[in-house]
Amino acid sequence: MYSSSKINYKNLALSVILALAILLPLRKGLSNIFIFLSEKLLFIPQNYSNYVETIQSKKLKLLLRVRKLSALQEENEKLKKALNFNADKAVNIKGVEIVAFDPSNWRRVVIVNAGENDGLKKGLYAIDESGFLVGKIVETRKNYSRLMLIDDPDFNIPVFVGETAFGLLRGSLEGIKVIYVENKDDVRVNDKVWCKISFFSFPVYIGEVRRLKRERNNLFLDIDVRLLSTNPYLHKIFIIH
Amino acid sequence: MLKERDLKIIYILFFLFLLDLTKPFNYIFITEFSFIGIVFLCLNYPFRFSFILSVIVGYFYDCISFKTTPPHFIEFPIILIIIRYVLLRFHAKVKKFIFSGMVIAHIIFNATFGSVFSFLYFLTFFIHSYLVFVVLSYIFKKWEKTFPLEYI
Repeated sequence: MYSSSKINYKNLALSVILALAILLPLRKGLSNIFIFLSEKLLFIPQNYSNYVETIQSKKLKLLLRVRKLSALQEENEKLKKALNFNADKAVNIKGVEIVAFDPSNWRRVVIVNAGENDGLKKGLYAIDESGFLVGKIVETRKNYSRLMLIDDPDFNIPVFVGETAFGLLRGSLEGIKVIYVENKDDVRVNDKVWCKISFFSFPVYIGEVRRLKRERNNLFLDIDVRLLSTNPYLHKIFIIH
Repeated sequence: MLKERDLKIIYILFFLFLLDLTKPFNYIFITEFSFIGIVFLCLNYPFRFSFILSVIVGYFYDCISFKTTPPHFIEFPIILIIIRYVLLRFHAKVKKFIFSGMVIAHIIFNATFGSVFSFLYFLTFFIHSYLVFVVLSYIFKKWEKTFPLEYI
């Protein structure tokens, strides 16, 4: 039977200090080793992976082009000065794969296999194969980046709800919410939740209003969102840059 | 020199860490496998061995994690010290209660520092963690034949 013995606190403290002095400088190197190992565990043949990525990128570009044209047509019909806007910049899409997850279950952060060497930087948005928003880059290194998913508690993005309402989408482990939408705004269930990314002149959809609660004494609506991205944990996502 | 029993727990901790890293079940399992492995280690192994392993696993955990507060290489040894203190004062048969207490403490730590307050999520985390702990204990018992006398 296992029985306990007394703790020698002095030796314990000395051991901790020694361990910290040796291990702390090695963190970055060990982090790279783990990500490398995790990437190798995926077992995806490189040629096939590249081919699939090319096809998916083309499909996604076509889909985004169709949406762009629809949004432009709608804008032209509504506004008198619809043509007085700057020319669109060329959109670049980088297909990436999720190689590892943040081991903590209190965060929704993934590690993708592209970094500064691929032209990525902090603040870029990620979409899935259907063009729906998935997350945002929060940290980049040379060969990999950390992507914060929409349902991370620290994820925030200003969004539009329906036609005119404007609020802040906040990620949460128990469900996505849009806050600061005024009570007088015309919002209904199943209205689309969308955002504008600086490179695009058309909306990037995030979700739909799942539940809506109006209270007389509250300035703002209580809105729950159902994400349109059906499986954000797919291995393939696309970074817009 | 490592004994066979020590190697088994190292393999298990490594496997649990890989489960947390690759998440083959996506986020269906709302639990942290490495944390469960560390508590299991602290409940069943001597202090010095558990301390070294908990610092190492916590350190590797922090290498991959994004902005963890508190850092796990401090949290896991603290868990070990608390478990040891409780085991000194109570009979070893209260292991399941100790595990439950540690899960609740872990939930409180992460909820406080991560600003996550959802009773349903906490309850799900507790239930999933407890189930995984029970399965892990059962599998380990089956795998291990006898308790070595060297640890008395």
